Amino acid sequence: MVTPHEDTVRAQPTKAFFVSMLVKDQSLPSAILDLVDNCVDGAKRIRGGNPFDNLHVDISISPQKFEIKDNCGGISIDLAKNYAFCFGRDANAPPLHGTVGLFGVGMKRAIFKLGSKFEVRSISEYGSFTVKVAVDQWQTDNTPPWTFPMTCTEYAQPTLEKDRGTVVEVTDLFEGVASQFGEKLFITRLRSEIAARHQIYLDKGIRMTMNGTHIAPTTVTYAFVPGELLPARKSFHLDGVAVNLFVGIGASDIENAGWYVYCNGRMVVRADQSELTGWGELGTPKIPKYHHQFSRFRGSVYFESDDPTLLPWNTTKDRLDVEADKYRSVKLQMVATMRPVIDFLNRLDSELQEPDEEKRVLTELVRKATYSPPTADLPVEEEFTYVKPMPRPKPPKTVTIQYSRPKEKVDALKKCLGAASAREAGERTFDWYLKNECGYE
Amino acid sequence: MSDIPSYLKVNYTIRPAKSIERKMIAEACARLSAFSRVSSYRYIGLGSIFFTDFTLFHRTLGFSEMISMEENIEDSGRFEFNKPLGCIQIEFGNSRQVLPTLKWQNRPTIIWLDYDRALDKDKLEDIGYVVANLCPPSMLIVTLRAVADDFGDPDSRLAVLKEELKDKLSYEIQTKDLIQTRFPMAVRNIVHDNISLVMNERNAGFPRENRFEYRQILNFCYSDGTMMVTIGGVIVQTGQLPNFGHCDFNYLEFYRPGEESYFIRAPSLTLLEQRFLDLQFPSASAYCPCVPNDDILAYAKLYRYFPKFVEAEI
Repeated sequence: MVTPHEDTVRAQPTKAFFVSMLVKDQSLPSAILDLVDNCVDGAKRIRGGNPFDNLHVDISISPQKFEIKDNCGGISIDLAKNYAFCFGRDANAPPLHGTVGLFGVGMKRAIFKLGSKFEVRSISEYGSFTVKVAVDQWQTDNTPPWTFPMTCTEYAQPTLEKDRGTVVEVTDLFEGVASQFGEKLFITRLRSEIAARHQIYLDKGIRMTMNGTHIAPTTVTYAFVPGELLPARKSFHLDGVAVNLFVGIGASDIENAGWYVYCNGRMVVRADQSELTGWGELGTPKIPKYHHQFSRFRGSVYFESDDPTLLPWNTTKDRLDVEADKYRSVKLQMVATMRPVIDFLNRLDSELQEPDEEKRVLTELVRKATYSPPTADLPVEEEFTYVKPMPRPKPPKTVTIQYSRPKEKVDALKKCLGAASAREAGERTFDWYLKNECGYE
Repeated sequence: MSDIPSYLKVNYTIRPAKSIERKMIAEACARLSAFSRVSSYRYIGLGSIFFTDFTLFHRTLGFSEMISMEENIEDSGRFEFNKPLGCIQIEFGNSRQVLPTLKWQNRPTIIWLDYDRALDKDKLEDIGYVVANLCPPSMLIVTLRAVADDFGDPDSRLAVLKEELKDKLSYEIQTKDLIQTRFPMAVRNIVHDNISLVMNERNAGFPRENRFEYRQILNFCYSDGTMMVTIGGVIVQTGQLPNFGHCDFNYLEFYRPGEESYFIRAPSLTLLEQRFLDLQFPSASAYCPCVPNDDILAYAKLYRYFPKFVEAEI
């Protein structure tokens, strides 16, 4: 009989896995957003909770070259040598404090998504370095340890704060990437993504430009009428994560209605109208599927944590980790809070049938609303609040009559009656017959 | 903007600049013979009740497969009655409904989306659909109203356009581009950016030697009372580029491959003045007593296409 013996199986990764496979999970815009996240984390490191004034991120895109440049403090030589270029986050890496980057994959994956040559240059307080890599050549040898060549200079005196920053440059762009970078409308969409997804940081004062043009933040706003119409706000803590939730109505916009979910200030989900955020799911309460009637719906959820690993985002930061316990419990709150808004929007829609304009109370309420972003100093109302219209006496039961007649004849009847519509002509001839032929007053 | 269809307001045949444009387009189309017999192309247009383009193209180019998309379904009898040629097939419905019902594969087509209204998202979607489906070699021509006031006062135009077009409006378009004098160029650029994006998507995954290209050849601006812009180009595959070269579009006086437009200015001349000048053409030194030189120069460029309107008792 052969005796079993202990052995091992090979389990080390290959460079090709990172260079060619991992990039498939990420879209091109999301790769660029990831590089912007790195700049934002730099800003957070040097400014903490203070405004981001005088910090900037300049992105330059062309079919030949991609470049992102910031003045957000730079990467220290130590951080670069030991952690920043590693694939995956090292357990010994410096602690994360409310950062957006956390997986240790963003920058490298984004670079690999774009092209086959890259250069990272950074100036930090006491040093500067350049890492320059031709990826095709680098990935031919999988022998560990994996390294990138680096040229660095250490300084005895601190550098000027304004000079500290990082430049990531990618050349030899892949064909599909280069062709999209040549499209103005691709760049327009990319700008719109940054304007929305980094809106909170832009509002904090960091200035971003793309191909020399400033990117203004796109802010989600809510309708307010003091004392009469207020969004709901819920605030609570879940094991190291602070959650703030706003639900209410905004301007009618079929594409931008829905839920917005932020993790440490970075928008992860934009205008979601799917089951992900409770739309059309069988639950308690039941929420209908999204459709145009809800084009005023707005909901925002802010997850904040010093430890970003506790937040429910995926590694590309464009979707939620729906199985994360924290998201599952918050989703229940989201669904419960959105129900009154759905009821409001249903009532608002049914007011369209109301012939008497004075009785369109909710329409009038929405008309006089002003719109502003949800702010932390907003008075906390657990429920979406609005002045409910007085219940109207139940109208008598009606039956709809539908029939067709030649247009020419209907037009003649309308003219004879002076009726503005076919419906009015029908109603008035009915009333006339009922009164004069049936004697019914 | 009025909602009354323009065919009820104006007789298409007597708009001089439009008439000139139509003939110039016909001349450009004739050059597609470098690819294949011109009469074999299918023509798709928005014929209105006058079908002027259909009649002209049938006579001069010999098209026999012609489709008119007509949205005024309630007046269908009138459209059928006015159809001047048996080979015209009217498809009732707006272009958004009709375009997806047409067959595109292996059907080289000349399509003229001759809208009389301003640019909006639906029209860009029509254009995008056509660009995604046209079989090369084909020609796409788009005409749009280019009146800046349609989008509000100068300060709010950009916001109104952004609201209407969303991410179909390039970030490069600024408020300064939307003053009336620059507006036709802005309209051309918006349409062009959208064509370019769809072409890019269409090409994704195609080998380099077999890609699609949109080559602009027309960029007209004219006004018969309302400023209009017309953009046109040919969709070809890489392998057909030598044929495209043989079309010699660049020898056409009105060939405009970029954002600079060819302005069709139809000078106001009497028939006698026209005839007097015609007798001297082609000539760089034509003259006519008492007619401003600018008008003579404008006429010299256009006389081959110039309409001769006379009142006739039939």
